[in-house]
Amino acid sequence: MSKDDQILEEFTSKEYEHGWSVDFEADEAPLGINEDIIRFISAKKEEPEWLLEWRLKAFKKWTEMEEPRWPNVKYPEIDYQGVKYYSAPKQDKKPKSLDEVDPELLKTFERLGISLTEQKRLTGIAVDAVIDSVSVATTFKETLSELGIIFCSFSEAVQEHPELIKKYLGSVVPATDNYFAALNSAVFSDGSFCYIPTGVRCPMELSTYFRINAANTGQFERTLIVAEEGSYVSYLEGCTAPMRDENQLHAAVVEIYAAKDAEVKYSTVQNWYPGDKEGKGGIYNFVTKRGICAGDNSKISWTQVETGSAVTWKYPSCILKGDNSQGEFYSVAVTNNYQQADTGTKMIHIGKNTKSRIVSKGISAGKSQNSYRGQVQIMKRAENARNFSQCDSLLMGDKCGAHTFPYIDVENNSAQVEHEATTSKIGEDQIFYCQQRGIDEESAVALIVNGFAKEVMSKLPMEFAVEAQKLLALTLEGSVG
Amino acid sequence: MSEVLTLEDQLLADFDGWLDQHYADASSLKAIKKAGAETFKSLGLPQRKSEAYKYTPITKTIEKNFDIETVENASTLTKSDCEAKFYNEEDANHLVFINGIFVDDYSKIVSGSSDLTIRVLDEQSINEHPELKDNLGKVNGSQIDPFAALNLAYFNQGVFIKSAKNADNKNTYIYQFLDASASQAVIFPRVFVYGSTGSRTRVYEKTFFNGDNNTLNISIVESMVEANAEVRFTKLQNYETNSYAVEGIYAHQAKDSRFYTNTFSFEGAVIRNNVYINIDAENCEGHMNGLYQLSGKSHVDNNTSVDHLKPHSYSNELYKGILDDHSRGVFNGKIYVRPDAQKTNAFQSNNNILLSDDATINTKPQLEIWADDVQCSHGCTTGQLDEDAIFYLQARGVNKPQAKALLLNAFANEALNELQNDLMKEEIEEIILNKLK
Repeated sequence: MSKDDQILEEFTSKEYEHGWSVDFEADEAPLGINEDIIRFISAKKEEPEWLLEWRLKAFKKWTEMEEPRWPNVKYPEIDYQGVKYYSAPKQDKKPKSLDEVDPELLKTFERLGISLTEQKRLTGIAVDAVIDSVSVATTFKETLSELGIIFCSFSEAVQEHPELIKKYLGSVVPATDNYFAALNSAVFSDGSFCYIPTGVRCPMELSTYFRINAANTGQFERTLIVAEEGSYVSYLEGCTAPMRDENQLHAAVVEIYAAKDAEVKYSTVQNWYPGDKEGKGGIYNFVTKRGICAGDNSKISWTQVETGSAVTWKYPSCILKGDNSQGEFYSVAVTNNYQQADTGTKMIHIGKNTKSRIVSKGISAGKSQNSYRGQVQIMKRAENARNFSQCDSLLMGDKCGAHTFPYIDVENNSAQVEHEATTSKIGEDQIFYCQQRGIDEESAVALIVNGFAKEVMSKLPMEFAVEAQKLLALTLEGSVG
Repeated sequence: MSEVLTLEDQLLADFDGWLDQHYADASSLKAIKKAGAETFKSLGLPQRKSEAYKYTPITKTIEKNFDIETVENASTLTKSDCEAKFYNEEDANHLVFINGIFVDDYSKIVSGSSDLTIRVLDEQSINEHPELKDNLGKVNGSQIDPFAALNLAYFNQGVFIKSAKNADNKNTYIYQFLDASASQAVIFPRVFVYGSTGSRTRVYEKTFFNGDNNTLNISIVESMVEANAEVRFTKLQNYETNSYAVEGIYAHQAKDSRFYTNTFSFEGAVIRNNVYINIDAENCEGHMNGLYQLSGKSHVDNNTSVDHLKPHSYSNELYKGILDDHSRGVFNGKIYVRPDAQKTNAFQSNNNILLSDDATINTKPQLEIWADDVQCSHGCTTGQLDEDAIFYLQARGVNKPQAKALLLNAFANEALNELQNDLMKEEIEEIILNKLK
């Protein structure tokens, strides 16, 4: 097994390649959270009164709530007063065009491989980049606005489309939904807003890139996607953070609203800093993501590749309210070293003939713990609802763990619900089979892992699939079970 | 200001007096029971948000339906009344419990004492059997559940069954008679099964109701399965629609041992089964099978767990449910594979058929795995009968209700595969068929 150990060693010693930070002047709020901080954030954003009220209400509720302890993860108490709730790269004024954006900032994004400049036109992705708490640039606005699509930072949307924000903000994830959603609602600083009008098929992938840069800050962004009748959009989200010894908090909220016949595809490649080999540092990723298929025949599809974060706590969910609506959840969660992930989905079937499909692939290595937690609920009036869930876990090394907690609640007799889960390691016979055919052990493992995750990877948009595959290769290539 | 008593306090209100009355100060049982009461007090009854009792609000049920008082055996059942209900198997042991208390006189024991020891679980048997004294109330953490702790505090004259080394014992039947004198009361039957090295023990338990009553049956079975021994414990729960029960089976397995448990549930206002197997050695086999076929407003909750602590063991679990009318079925199956338990094979399956719009199933098959070289899987389905299969039968002249009954019967029968007792099997098959009519 020495070869295995060696490969494992190589794998575990791989460094996090996005671990640098850049010094730009930042506009920050003082440490801690209280009503004044919320007023400060709201004032910074020049927000209308109703939004401030909404924040304060959420904050009040948050102070009454208890941090959830049910996820299968362990982490030290978070000191909520030791976090800066607002940090923005300093810009004298809002840039009118890309030429005015701080060159240091642009360079940052170049390093991340996200070009905000014209080049991007070639790949045809509209990008909204969020550093620390603030959206710094959005590309392709004009092209999109010709079709009536609104794609901008959240704070911009508050100024320019307050009626839409007022209508949809908190409609899917109420401000007091859970502890972290309440915290986010109180202090969220920016994020993306996307509105696809009736009958429009968004011609390009929309993308948001999140980066935590400053130390001691938390990132609390909010994404709101509204797809009107018959529209379609594919949305990508990526994230990285510098290497720091202390843990940083990321508590985001994503809301998706799909009207009749609308389809939203939401893909995430989550690569926050996972902490070092000893489990020191890393991001706490406590995210609430939920979509509602409000209209008939609508569809929401979540695809996620989770490789980063010290602790992940995330359940992208679908409320299938419209008749014939569909929800999908495809996930690959990879944990290594001391990473912990408790992730899964909720499919709430309310409408008739609703369908959902869950495919979750967990890969645990090192001393990590990887849990799938999901709920499939078929309500009483959900005639002919159909669900299929599959949760497979792959274990690499004898110090890691893989856990499955599915909840299945059926109240309608015409429903068909299936759930299956397996846990195993890569078979020695599988590796032997490959070796016999001239594939070395390392490539064999890569091949098997890729095959294991393929069903999910194939659901990612092309641009992302490349990045995700690279990430998976970087994290797992050569590790042996 | 009047003091508001919690339900826990109410349950224990008369405990000290009752204990002093029945047990001498120096007795070891008194100490064990006192400890049980303490454990219960510290655990408390499951609250609304308690994960383990999420779908079964048992505390509320007790609050609403029961005057808490322990019953003495005031039953009018005679020996011949009981004997009339025995299975027609001469060459077997028949044990009688009335209202949760083991009645030695009414029981019929044919096994030789060199093979099988059957004793009242009391001070004397505890002092004579160190394996009982050392393990009573401790098998597989049987005090984790508040009801198990409450049973330990309150049980009075349970039964101790011990198979001697290498003895292959005959069937033992336990009949739980509940009659009107126990109406509105809580009863606490307790069974301890000890399978010595290389022995085989087969126990079949069945519940009888004499008259209409709504007893709460808090029953506990503890089983120590020594090296290379085999213990089978089967429960046939044919409760009345207004009866309540929390029943626990706690088993601990030593090297090369086998433990089988079958639970067949038909009706009951609220029935909760806790089945916990601890596989603490290599080369063990643990089997759990169950069937719940419910109608009316019945509610049956099966909570099971198998904990693999050592390598090279195997566990298999199959629960099947048929739910009609307003009934609710709950299934929670846990498989734990601890870091050392390499080469474990653990399988679990739960299949449900809902026959009515108002029936509900809540199922939670759960895997927690810390070892990498294992094969574990669980599967869970909820659905209806295959329309094609019904059509196939109809095309061959079987009418629709009959076709459905036939298919449901086949579905249910899979849960009977592990039951090695033809008498009980026949009876259960008949119950299933009757319910399908």
